[in-house]
Amino acid sequence: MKTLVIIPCYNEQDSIVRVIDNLKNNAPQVDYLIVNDCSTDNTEKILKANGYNYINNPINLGIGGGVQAGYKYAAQYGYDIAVQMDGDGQHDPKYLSKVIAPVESGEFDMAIGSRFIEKEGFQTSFMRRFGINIISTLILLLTGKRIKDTTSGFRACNRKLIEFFAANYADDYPEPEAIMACLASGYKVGEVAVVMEERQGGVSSIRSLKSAYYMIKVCLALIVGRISFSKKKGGN
Amino acid sequence: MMKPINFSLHAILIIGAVGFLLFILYLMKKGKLEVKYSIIWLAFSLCMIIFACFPYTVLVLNDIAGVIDPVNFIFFTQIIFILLILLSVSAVISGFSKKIKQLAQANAILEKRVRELEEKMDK
Repeated sequence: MKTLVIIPCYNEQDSIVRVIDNLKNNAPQVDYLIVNDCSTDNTEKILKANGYNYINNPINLGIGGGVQAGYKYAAQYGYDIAVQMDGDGQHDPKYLSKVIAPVESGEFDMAIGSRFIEKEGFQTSFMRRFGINIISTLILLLTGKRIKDTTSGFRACNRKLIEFFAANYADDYPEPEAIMACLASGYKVGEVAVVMEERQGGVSSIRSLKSAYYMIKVCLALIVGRISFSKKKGGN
Repeated sequence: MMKPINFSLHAILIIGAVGFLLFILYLMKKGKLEVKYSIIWLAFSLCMIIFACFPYTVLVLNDIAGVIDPVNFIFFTQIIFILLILLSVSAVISGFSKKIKQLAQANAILEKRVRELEEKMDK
């Protein structure tokens, strides 16, 4: 199946080359697309010099808008499977096939690479895990489905969801909201165990000072997402 | 019983309300205010004109609503309008930000095509 790896990238000049080389070595059969979200450092020069496949957002859209541009690209160019992978080296391309497998087999519409199933590798800070757990519990309460690693940006989805995401995708902190949108619309979402690294460069899109605001916003967005997406609109 | 409204105050209120309506119409005529965003402003200004021309309506509505001071009733009405207008502005901005995002994404994908075409032509 035609597979596209979408790599959102904002000021990742230190890590992007390693990430792409790693991806090419581990998964030469897949296409990739780097979404340069108006980086202010040398990222664009590096992408150009290396002849990578990339798009440039003319304005900074944030992680959600950037990834959505990738989904739009995947929708336009007829990809069957799209995989999101961070540009900072957190996600190991070794696990790519593992994340894709359940989507390819049709078991899930979206498969999320989860660091909390086998609890190996970088487990992030206590506060971060606490926040992730709150989001996870809220999703459980709203949809009846337990997703452990709600903020994981390592996820694969099928053609139906590529089209769905090309049309609706949250802006600022989209990972939990995308899970909610999928579940509320009746898509099958599941997790597969992966091991994540600590980021090699760049800054997380979730910074400590803004985390309280982040939590409030995500919780509100999840509740709104529960109300606004219905099985009639999308899904099966 | 309320004492009748002071003549010069009455005049100022009417001139102010009508002037406001004329300003809205002027902006619409100049194309600086789109019809779909002007409706709530027109309703607001018409309401103020009615209140200014016929203060009696305020007294009646005031008694119906059970507000102690008529001026509070006017403030209340205005605040409701302002809140509605602010909310509609937020909604309009949300719509714009969505459209800007879509434009940027379409532009990014196009830019890639153009870049690749140029590279091909240069070869």
